[in-house]
Parts: sequence; C-alpha cells; structure tokens
Amino acid sequence: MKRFAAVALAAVLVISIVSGCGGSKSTGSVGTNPDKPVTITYARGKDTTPAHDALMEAFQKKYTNIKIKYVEMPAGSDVQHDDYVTKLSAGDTSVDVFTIDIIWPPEFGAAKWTLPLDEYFTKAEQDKFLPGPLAGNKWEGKLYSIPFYTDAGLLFYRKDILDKYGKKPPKTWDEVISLSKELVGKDGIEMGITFQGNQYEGLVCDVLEIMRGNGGDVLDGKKVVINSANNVEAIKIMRSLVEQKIAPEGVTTYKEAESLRPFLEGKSLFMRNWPYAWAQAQNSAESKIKNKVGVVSVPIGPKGSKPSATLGGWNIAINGNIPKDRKDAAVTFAKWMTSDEAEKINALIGSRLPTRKALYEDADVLKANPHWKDFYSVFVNATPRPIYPSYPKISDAMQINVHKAITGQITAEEAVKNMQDAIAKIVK
Amino acid sequence: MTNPTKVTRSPWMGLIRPTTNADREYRLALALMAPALLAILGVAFFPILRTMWISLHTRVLNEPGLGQPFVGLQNYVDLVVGSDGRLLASLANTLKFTVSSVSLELVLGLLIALLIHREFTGRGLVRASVLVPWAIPTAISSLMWRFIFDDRLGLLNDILARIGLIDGYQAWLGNPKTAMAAIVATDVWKTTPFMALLLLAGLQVIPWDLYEAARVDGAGAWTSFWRITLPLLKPAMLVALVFRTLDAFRAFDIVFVMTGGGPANSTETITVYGYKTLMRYLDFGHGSAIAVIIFLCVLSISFLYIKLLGANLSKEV
Amino acid sequence: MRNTSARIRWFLFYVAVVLFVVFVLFPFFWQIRTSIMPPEQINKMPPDWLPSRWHFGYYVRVFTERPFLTFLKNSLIVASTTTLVNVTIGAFSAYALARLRFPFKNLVLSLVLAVSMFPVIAIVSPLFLFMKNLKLLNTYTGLVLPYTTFALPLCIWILTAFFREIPKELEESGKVDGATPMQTFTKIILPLAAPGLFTSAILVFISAWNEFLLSLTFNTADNMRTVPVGIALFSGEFEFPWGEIAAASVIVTVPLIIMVLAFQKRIIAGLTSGAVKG
Repeated sequence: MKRFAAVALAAVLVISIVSGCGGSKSTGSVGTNPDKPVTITYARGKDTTPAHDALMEAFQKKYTNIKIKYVEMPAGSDVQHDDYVTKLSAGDTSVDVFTIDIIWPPEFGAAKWTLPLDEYFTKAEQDKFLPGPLAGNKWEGKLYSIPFYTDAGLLFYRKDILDKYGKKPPKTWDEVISLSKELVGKDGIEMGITFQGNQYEGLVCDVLEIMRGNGGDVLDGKKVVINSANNVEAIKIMRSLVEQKIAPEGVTTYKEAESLRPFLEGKSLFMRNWPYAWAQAQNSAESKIKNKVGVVSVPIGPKGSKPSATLGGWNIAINGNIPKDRKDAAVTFAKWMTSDEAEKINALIGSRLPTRKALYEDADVLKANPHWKDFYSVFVNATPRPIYPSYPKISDAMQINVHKAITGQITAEEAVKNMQDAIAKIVK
Repeated sequence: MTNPTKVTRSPWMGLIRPTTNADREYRLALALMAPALLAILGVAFFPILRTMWISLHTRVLNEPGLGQPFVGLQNYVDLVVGSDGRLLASLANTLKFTVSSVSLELVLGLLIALLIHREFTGRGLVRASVLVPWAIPTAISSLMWRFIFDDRLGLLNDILARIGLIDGYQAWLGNPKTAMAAIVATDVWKTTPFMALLLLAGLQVIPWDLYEAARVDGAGAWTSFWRITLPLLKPAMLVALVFRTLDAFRAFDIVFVMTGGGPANSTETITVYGYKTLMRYLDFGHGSAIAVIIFLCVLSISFLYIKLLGANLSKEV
Repeated sequence: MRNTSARIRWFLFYVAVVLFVVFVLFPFFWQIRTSIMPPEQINKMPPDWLPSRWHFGYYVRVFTERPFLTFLKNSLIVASTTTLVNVTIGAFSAYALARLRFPFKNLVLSLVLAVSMFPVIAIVSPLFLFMKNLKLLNTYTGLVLPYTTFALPLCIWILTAFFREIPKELEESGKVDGATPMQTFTKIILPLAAPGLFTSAILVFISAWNEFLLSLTFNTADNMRTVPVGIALFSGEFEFPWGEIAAASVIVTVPLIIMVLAFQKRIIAGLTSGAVKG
C-alpha cells in the first residue's frame, strides 16, 4: 500500500511539473490551451466600440478551454479605480484579469495587488511594445501590467479654415496664439482653442505637454525638478490662453466632453484632445465639421525643441492573489490580448491605438486609419506622467496649483514653488 | 422611575423575570426595538469600529513597507496641524455650504409647506411636482445643473443674457467667487422638497381648532403662525434640521460631480478631501481619521440641535 | 370691496404657485426636451429651447443597448423591500421610544443616529468583506440590508416624533374598549400617524432607489445591477451621451412621480377628531 502511494505521489509530481512547464512559462509566443476548462473573470471599462465583442469571440475560438466571464465596469477611470481599490484592499479574488489606466501600475504594483509579469514577457518581447507605454507599466524595474492600447494628446485644427487663409498648422504656442487672434471672428469661429482646464487629472495631462514642450519636467528619476524657469514660462503660457481670451472663459471648467463640443459645432479653431475626438469629428451625428479637421502634434514653447504628448491608454493587469490554474489562464489571456493579432482587431474595429510597434506599419491598419502614419512619431515620443506609486498625490498638488494659476489666484512663480515644495515631500 | 420596589433589583433581573409593569414595558420595548438594533449594529457597527481602529494606525496601501504601526492620535494631529491647513480649509468650505444651504432650505421649505397646506385646485399636482427634484438621482441632477451653469451651452447664461442682466457669458463654476454659490443653488433646488415634505407632515397634525380658537380670540395670521404653528412644528423641524444638516455636512456627489473640489480648490469640502485621501492617495490611516472627524462633527451638531430646540423626543408624553 | 381684495390675494397666490412650479420642474422639462432632441441640434450653441423635430431614438437605445428593464426591475424590488422593512421595524422601534419607559433612551436614539452619520465611503471596504463572507454579493438581500441600516434612523426619528404627538387618551380609550395593545397599535395609532408613515416611506424609497456606491460595489453581475449604476454605464471614457442620459432619467423619474401622486393623498390623511382641515 505504502509503495503504491509513493509511486502515485511521484507520478503526480512528475505530471504536474511537466504540465506546469508547458502552460505557464512561455518564452515569447502566446500561451497554450489548458487541458481542463478554466473560467477567468475579466473586468474592463465599458467599450463603446464593437472591438471588445470581436476580441472575445476570437479568443474563445482559439482557446476553447478558457472561458471568459466578463464584468463590465462604468467607463470612467475614477469609478473603476475606486472599485478596484475597495476590492483589492480586501484581498478580493473575484476578478482575475482587468484593465488599468496608464497611471495606476506603480500604485497597484507597490501595493502588491497585480502580478509582476517579468517572467512571462522576455526583454525581446517587451521591446516590441512602444517605449512610453511600457515605461508607464513599470516600477522599480518590475513590469506590473502590459500595455493594451494607448492614447496621446494631439492638437486638432480646422484644416478648411487654415487652408482658406493660406496658413500652415502651428508648431509653437506663439503661433497658436497669433493664428487665433487673426482668425477668430471669421467663418463662424468664436474662439481660438479649447483644452481641458478643469481641476482634475486632465489638467495635468495638458500642462505637462506645455511644460515638457518647453524643456521642463516634473521628476528626473526620483529627483524633483519642477522648479525651473521653463516651467514657470509654461504655466504663464497656459494662463495667457485664458487671460487673453484665446480660450473661452469657461475653459477652466472643461473636461474632454466640454472641450469637444464647441469644436464639433465648428466654433473653435483649435482643440487639444485625445485621438477619440477624430472619430467623433468624422463620424458622429452631432459633428458639423466632417472632413474639415486636421491633426498635428501638440505645440512647443520658446525653450522647447520637440513636442511631448502626454500618454493615456489602458493596460492589462493580473490579480496577484488568484490560484495557479486561473493565473496561468490569465497569463495566456493577457499575452493574447496584447499580441499583434488581437491589437490589430482592436485597431481595425475599435480604432484603438496599438501598443505594438509593428502594427504602425501594417497595411490593413493604416488603410483603416490613414492619419496614424503621421502619428507614429508622436506616439513613439509620447511620455507617461510622472512614474511614482504616490502619483495621485503629485497629480493633486499639480491640479490645485495649476488651476489656481490659470484662474489668476496665484502667480505662475508661486504655483511652481508650491508644487516643488509639495512634491518634494511626496517623493523620497 | 416611580416604582419603589425596584430600588434593590437590577434592571437585568427585571428583564429575565418580569414582575412589575416597568419590567414588562422594558421587555416589550426591547422586543420591539430588537430588529432595528440588530440591523443597525449588525451591519454598520463593526465596520465603523474597524475604521476608527484603522485611524489610529499608519496604513498607506501603496507603501506596504511602512507596515501598520499603531500611532495613536498622530494622524489627527497631522491633519489638523499639518496638511498645510487643508483640513481646516475643507471644514470651512463645508460649514459655508452647510449653513447656506440648510438655512435657505428651511425658510423656503417652510414657505412651500405653508403654501401647499391650504386647499386649492391642482394641489395634488403641485405636491407631486415638489418631489421631482428630490426624486432625480443626485449624480444626474448634479450633471444637469452643471450643464445649466455651463458657460457656452448653459441655460443660465442664455436666460440672463437675453434678459440683459449680464453682457458676457460667465463661467459660474470656473470662478472661485461664484462656484460655491452655484453648488448651494443646486442643492437648494434639489433638497428643499425634502424639508417641505417633512414640515408639511408636521403641519398636518396641528389641530385645526387651535387656529379657529385663535381667530375667535382676534389673533391675526402672523400671531397664529408665531404662537401656534412654530411651537407645534418644533418636533418636525428638529427632525428636518438634524437630518438635513447631517446630509449637507456629508454632501459628496453634488460637489464632486459639479466641480471636483475646484476651482482652485475653493469648493473642496471635508468629504471630498476624505475621499481623495482614501481612494486617491490610498492613505487609509489619515482617510479613516477624516471619516471619524466628520462623524464627530456631525455628532456634535446633532447634540446642539437637540439641546437648542429643546424637544426631547424620548420624553414620554 | 372684500371680494376684490380676496380675489387679488388668490390671484397673487396662484401666480406664486405657478412661478414656484416652473422653477421646480424646469430642469426636468429641460431633460425631457433634451431626450427628444435630434442629434444635430443637441449641442447647438446657444441652445435651442425646443427641438425642431421629435427624435425618439435615445429612448429606443436606452432599452436596447442595455437590459434597462432588468435594471428597473432590480431597483424596484430593492427599493420596495427596503421601504417595507424599514417602515415596519421603524414603526415598532418608534413606538417603543415614544411610549414605553425604559432606561438609556437618549443613548439609543443617539446610537441609531450616529450610525447613519458615518461616511459610507470609509466603510465600503469592510462592508464589502462582510457581504462577501455572508455570500450576499449579487443578491437583493445584500443591498436591502445596508440600505435598511442607513435609512432606519430617519424613519425612527420621524415616526417617534409623530407617535409622540398622538394624545395618550386615544390609546387609553382603546384599552377601555377592550382592545389588545396590537389592535390599539394597528387600528388607532397607525392611521393617525399615516402622514409620518407615508412621508418616511417616500423618503426611504427614493434614497434606496438612488443609491449608487454600494450597488456598484456589491452587485457587479449585469442582471443584478440597479438603475443608477445602469445610467452610469451609458457614458464612455470621455463622452457623455446627453440624449441617452436624459431619456434614462426621464424613464426613471416618471414612476416616482406617479407613486408620489398616488401617495400624496395619504400623506395628508387627517385625524378624525379634532381634524386638520385638509
């Protein structure tokens, strides 16, 4: 009896090692279909495009033994963040895979909520992704999630109007201001530019573009470098947009939706927004500017040399506390969802920007989204927001002070000094 | 307690083996209240105690290296003395909001209750319409009003410009001077019905003959109001004020949806600050402390009301 | 002379009533208008007051894009159950607090109140764990329980205030007539406290109907979601589909108005003797 048990035990051990080798530690290619059916729960913010359904269908066809249970979250970033915080801090394992915003990986990784993925994605594999989004998914050298689709700030403009008056799209903020002053009042244009000036995360995205486009930055590794003349100038530029009425007076209350509306109505000459706005301008029933829109990188300031779009985008993360069989299935899922095949589906059907470099040269993708060819340089150079686990605190300090500056409550110098002091306390 | 034979027995004995009427009443009271107490204590008590316990520790979720050491009242000291005065500023904003909205709502609510207390055609419809603002989910009505205050598409600017009261479109929610007022206006629109309903119910139980008798004695409308209505309305007013102040002090959705705490952080109430500390900074230590501070403030306010309005709800009639 | 001045007073009174109703209902009418506004007109700056044509597409999309009827059903069940449970056990507790003699009354009242004063955001996490351990996630009970907890204090306070106002003689006379305490309670006390009962019922119903945070956290299954969460699901990451949101809020508010219209007579159910002139 004892001998039989020992042999059985040895057999079980051997089998588990062998099957373990096959399923989990894939080197570069996507994982394999497990032998027994496994159900994993996948949560993401609502997809307003049909891409999600197409992806799920394609995945199920290929991996018949991994069943996906889909939990749809509200699309807003904050709502999802709070829900994950509530559940993950309670050690919840009801969700296996979920999408996270580009600014959460350091936070979730430092809190030990998401599984580090370095053993599943080799360096060679990681290099196939755009450098900016990949950097945003890392903290202290570890990869805590993998980029799924990306977003970067762009400057939209009324091509028809600029062409009519023989103007070229602006490269600097000075050009934006002078073009606005010249053309506002003509052809139904009532305002120069709309952007996200409300006191919220979007403001940080916008102000970072102006700062970095003027040669300034917030963090250099763990060093706080926000207190610089370049940054003071950048904030002054943003303030002048409000003060000189280049932007409408309510711009300090605008988020993405409010900044899009006047542009869609044909009342604004320029708009800083995310790539989703392109589809809105071209296809939405509410748009009055179909085929009249052009896109170019965000402008630079007098001291800047190249434009720096702020990164958005979502990434796939795996719950660190789930049991092994679900973990393996989740890794397979994550690998497939960020493969060329899946990201291509996302690009063609959902117009989502891929995070894999190869797809920007794919003929089908470029045919469906011709304007992306020009964006490649923008996306390759797009930079994530300051990478630190307490980034929300940094963001808060920036939001409050920049908003005080652009509403004229404090000067740009004071704002920058306050931010330096506050952020120095946070980053140790 | 008027029963002399209970002097030497403890109340608990009376529960187990009731002999006097007082004991029986006590037992009955407990039986009647048991379901409610169970629901309240069972569900909320332990989470609340746990939060209070956490507030005495350091607990930052994305800095697990700090551990969770016991720090006593350090979190509270940090908030009140440190934090660059942010806690005190948020308390000031909260008080501004609470005092303005509650007083406006009380006065308007009373006026409305008096208005629809009388008989007139269409009263049923008016009563039903009064509840519409309260019935719409807060998140939606806050969005609605945010839209109304919008600088380009907003109704308010449109109407005021047409009447000629303003010459340029204003960014009501973008100006630190007007943002709080806009939020208060939205809250007054939304919550006055709640006050009106409670006060109306209170008005309903005032016997009509008191007014008749007063009229016969030659009292005018104002005297009747001051001498009969107000005093008899005290219990309803107390309930309305206590709950309305509690809610206003803890208002979150309306501020968050309309301004997110801006502009220039001028509308950040203590609940918004607490939310940010908990959910953004993942600082459960300080965040729980803020929750406890909110709780203590609200507790003190209700004690104040009970003392001021003198209506001792539990005194037997 | 007297007639004219009375007429003028009534006229002014009606003017005041109309102005008031307009102010109260205007945003709601604006929602109705937005919900039938054709897409090309919805963002017009400055806004048009009336739609150029009636567009019902948003209403169709509300019901076809998501199982909105299911959301409505869930909200209805949760809110009604919460209201029934609350008013019942609230009435029992209020009676005890208003009529019976026992020690620590003020403590009980304060404790009951204190619980409803604690910011829910701070206790969502432990509450989530609690429901999870009791296997009450994605159920109706899982929501009714905390909703009851947080709504009971209001109920108890309102009803205590009302029961207190009812003259003790009425109960005494009931006893004299040979009625049991339960009969006195149901046949004499409750009808007299009807305004308080129906007021609490409406307030509890509405607060349960509109609750968002706990519903979002506990009921994640698509077929168990409630209306406020359902409405939040209309929005995209950056887009606010005003048409659909307006249509959904109209759909959600209309039943509440009907319910109030049905109940509002009961709110003013008068006393029999020494009656209030309604």
